Amino acid sequence: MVSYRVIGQPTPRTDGTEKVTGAARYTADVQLPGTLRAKALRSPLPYARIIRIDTARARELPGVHAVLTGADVRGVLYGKSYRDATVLAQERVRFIGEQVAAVAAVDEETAQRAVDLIQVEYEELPAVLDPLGALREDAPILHPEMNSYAGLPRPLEKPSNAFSREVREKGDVETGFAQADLVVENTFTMARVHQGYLEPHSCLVWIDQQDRVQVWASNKAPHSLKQGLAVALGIPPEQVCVNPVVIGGDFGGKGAIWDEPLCYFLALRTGRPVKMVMDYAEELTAANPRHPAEVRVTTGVKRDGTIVTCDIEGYFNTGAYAAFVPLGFLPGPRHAVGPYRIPDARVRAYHVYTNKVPAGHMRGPGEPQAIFAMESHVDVIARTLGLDPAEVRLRNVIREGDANALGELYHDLHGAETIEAALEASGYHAPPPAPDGPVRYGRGVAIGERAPGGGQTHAAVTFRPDGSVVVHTSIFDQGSGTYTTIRQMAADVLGMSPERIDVEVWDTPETGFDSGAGASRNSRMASEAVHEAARAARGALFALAAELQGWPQDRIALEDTVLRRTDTGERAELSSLLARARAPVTGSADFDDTTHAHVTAFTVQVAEVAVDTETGQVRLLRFTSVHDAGRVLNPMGHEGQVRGGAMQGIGFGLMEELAIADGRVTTPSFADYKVPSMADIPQMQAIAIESDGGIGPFNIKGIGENPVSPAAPAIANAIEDAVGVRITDLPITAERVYRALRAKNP
Amino acid sequence: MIPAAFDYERADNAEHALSLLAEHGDEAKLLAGGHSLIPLMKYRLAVPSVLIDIGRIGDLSYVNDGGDALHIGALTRHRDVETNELVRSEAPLLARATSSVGDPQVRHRGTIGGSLAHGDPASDLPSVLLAMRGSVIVTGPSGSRELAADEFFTGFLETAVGPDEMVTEIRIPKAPGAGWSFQKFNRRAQDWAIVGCSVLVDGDTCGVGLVNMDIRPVRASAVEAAVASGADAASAAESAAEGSDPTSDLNASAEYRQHLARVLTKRALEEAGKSSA
Ligand SMILES: Cc1cc2nc3c(=O)[nH]c(=O)nc-3n(C[C@H](O)[C@H](O)[C@H](O)COP(=O)(O)OP(=O)(O)OC[C@H]3O[C@@H](n4cnc5c(N)ncnc54)[C@H](O)[C@@H]3O)c2cc1C
Repeated sequence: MVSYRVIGQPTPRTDGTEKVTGAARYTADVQLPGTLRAKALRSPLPYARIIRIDTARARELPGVHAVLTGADVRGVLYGKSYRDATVLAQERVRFIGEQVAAVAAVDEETAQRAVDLIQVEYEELPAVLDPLGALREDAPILHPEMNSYAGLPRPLEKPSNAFSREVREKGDVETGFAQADLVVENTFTMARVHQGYLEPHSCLVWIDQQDRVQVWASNKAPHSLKQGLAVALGIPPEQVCVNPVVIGGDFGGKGAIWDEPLCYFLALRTGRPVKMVMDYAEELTAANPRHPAEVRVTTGVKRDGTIVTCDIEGYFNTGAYAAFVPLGFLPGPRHAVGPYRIPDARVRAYHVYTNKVPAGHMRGPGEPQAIFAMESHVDVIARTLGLDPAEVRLRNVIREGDANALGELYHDLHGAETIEAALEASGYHAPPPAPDGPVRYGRGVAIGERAPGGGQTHAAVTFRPDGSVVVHTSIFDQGSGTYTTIRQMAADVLGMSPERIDVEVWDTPETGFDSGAGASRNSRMASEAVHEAARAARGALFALAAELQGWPQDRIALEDTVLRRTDTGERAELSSLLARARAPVTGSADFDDTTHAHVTAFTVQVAEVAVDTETGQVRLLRFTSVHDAGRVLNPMGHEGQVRGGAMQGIGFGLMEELAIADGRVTTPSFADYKVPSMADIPQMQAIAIESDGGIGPFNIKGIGENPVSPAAPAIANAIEDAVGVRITDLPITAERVYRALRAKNP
Repeated sequence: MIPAAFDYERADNAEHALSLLAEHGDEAKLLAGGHSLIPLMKYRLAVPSVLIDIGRIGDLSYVNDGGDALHIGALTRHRDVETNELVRSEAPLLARATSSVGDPQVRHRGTIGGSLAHGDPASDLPSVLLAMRGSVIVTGPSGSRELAADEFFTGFLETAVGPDEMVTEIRIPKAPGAGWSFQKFNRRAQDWAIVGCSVLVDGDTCGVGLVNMDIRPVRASAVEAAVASGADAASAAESAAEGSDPTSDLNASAEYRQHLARVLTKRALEEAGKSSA
């Protein structure tokens, strides 16, 4: 492998110190003179007609500057691409937590007090709470006007709550079933979970003296935000400026247009900047969590474990609006066919409106649900046939030259190698610990695969007169460490130490469109753009040296602060050379490739559990996460992504559930909504298998979303290995395991 | 998430706190570590108009050797109880249970008096008070009285402490050589118990206190009686859920809680049996 000086070195985060000392400036910290605080009145009913809203008392409260209701924002629809969301409820409320009215006041308390004074009369309507109910003939259609909404994924013959039906197919599954020795069918369900970022959604909107809409927002896709706002508000995009600000975690949940349109209308009404910060109870009840789902997997298999056909049917509960899902539907359900060589396969994914909190994206949108289903199912196949689950995976996994079940062809496939490495590192084949009283031990393995997404981004590398360098990027780092790797890459291309390189972020008017963080694309986009911009800047520098020093341009090297002529050893100070430059010494690059990369990355995880057969309690003892990583830019950052991602996967598997009863979220705080703490995390091994086959100039592969999905099925598989029960519903609580054990041994 | 407006008074000592209580009556609430009260106030489930902060009353933070019993000041923080040598040697059950309360941050703020006075069936320490047959010293305008554990917990978040009274001391009988066990079942590490069980076995007598098995902290009297009449751990524990009335919630169904109570009690009795001298 090529070796670098800075890339590949464990490198602490450039933004670490400011974050841990509290110096980092998040949206809520941005202070503009005269800023008002906004709060919204939210619907207490899952589905109802609004009969009357009385805001008189709220308006009279001293300190209140504006009160808006649906009537003030009529006709405005917004959304990431499918525009079905209203700024404030119009005539109907469709979920508990939907914003019905909003107040801007001198401070948050006054705004809240005014909100409490608003009276709304509702006529409650029968609510539709689950996807299967929503598909019944007699179910009310929640968005009868959906065909008129812009961006509906595919127009429907007649409006249906299943507003999106995505079908992916290769071959003919029926032929496959005819050839199978055995048909195995299972249905799995997964709970709604929240991204759990520390910083709640917040935004600040100010209409400046030039009528520009200045926005600060906890949003990782500022250019989409800009465009989406412009479209929704009917103003030219150039009029919107999204300013860089630190983002306090995202995990998929910070890419949608949020309260910015509402703050815009409040700012317009009051002539003041307006800030809105959700509290965490609002986050847990009315943000954009991961879709709960029900996925049925039907496979035809041969006795030797070969999967010949696979039919997937998945129902994803979108809730009341799809505006927060970038495409309107999830891209991930296709992962339910696994990274397997299956001749005939079909995935049918239905996205269904219900009267529940709208769902959005979360780390691998649709993948954890899909992969939990298929990777649990593969173990059922193996156990049904009396085969080792790891062997069944090795038998079916795509190898170099194989297309996957949906006909997609990836290169540099390290699936089998990653499985072998995970089995080895975890001691998968060693006998499990002997039973200890009521406790039984088991191991489970699961696999996932994902290629980084494509996109557009921009970078510029500029030498300052003092010899330091600034790299400009259009990416807003949502917390994943992109600025640190950008600095590393620039350092290696230029031949400078990273300490002399700063990373600065462009606000939206300064560059063309940037796709934003997501789809595990940051390293891919940044590596291409920064590499090219840094090379261009270096070329400009060498041209300058050639001109001013008379050196041959191909005989020059930069060694941090000194330029050296390689054939004679002559040296020149970088700063004194730059002082003589008449034009900026700079290089820039635009990256534009919106297709998925044709190199994918495998993740194989092995869980070792102890199951208490008397209580059903599952303890995760050891967890091994092995990654087909390409070139790791920053081992510290890579490992951080693996550990954090695996932890989210473990939470999804064992404890997290944003529970809803009668339409109401019943876990509105972190006391009730359980995310794992460090004390729940077992001994964890994070292993990267590096190779030169990755993407772009540094041979990278994605890592942001990869570590999340296989964790839950690995745990479920380990539980079956330990105690012989199959848990098909997430989260796998002790009570579920206990009930399954009781059902098996009454 | 913002508590309703309230006034704040800081008490310098117990007498001062009592006189502030007398002055403000029902409107007032004592604030000790605040780790149960403040969350309730944030959700506006408690709306006191005056908070009387007793958290800095230094002379109510102590662990003294009272001869037959340990005397523990009501304002002693969990952390100070858990690490106290006297508690560790004379009442290891209390030390263990206290060390399982929340996380280190919670234990540096929360107090033993606040935990008991809150009367929460989900709290760990009431089960210890019941199992060890401790008592609580309650002080009011007309002096102090000593309440046995069984008289203290009267209902959901209700205790026998009057509106003009405060808890000043907790007494835990020493139990040299007694066997003990604390069992806590939770959905994640460092969390509230779904069900818990404290057991103290001293010769033929035993005390069993349960966490989260009723609207108030309760004693498993049937188990105690079974042990006294010679039953072994497994059969005595069969009656652990007898007479209990646990809730069904997101964390567990009532039926599962009753099952857990039996399993944890069996384990606690077995472990206590082994550790008893
Ligand atoms: C995140 C978290 C996790 C927790 N986990 C656990 C756990 O696992 N197990 C557990 O048992 N507890 C747990 N707790 C609760 C913790 O132990 C509290 O500290 C304790 O329950 C209350 O003690 P406090 O001193 O904070 O009381 P406060 O919150 O100040 O007061 C609680 C109540 O008692 C009253 N009060 C306080 N002191 C007195 C007194 N001396 N006399 C009369 N009335 C008084 C107050 O008026 C109030 O009504 C947790 C708390 C948090 C925030």
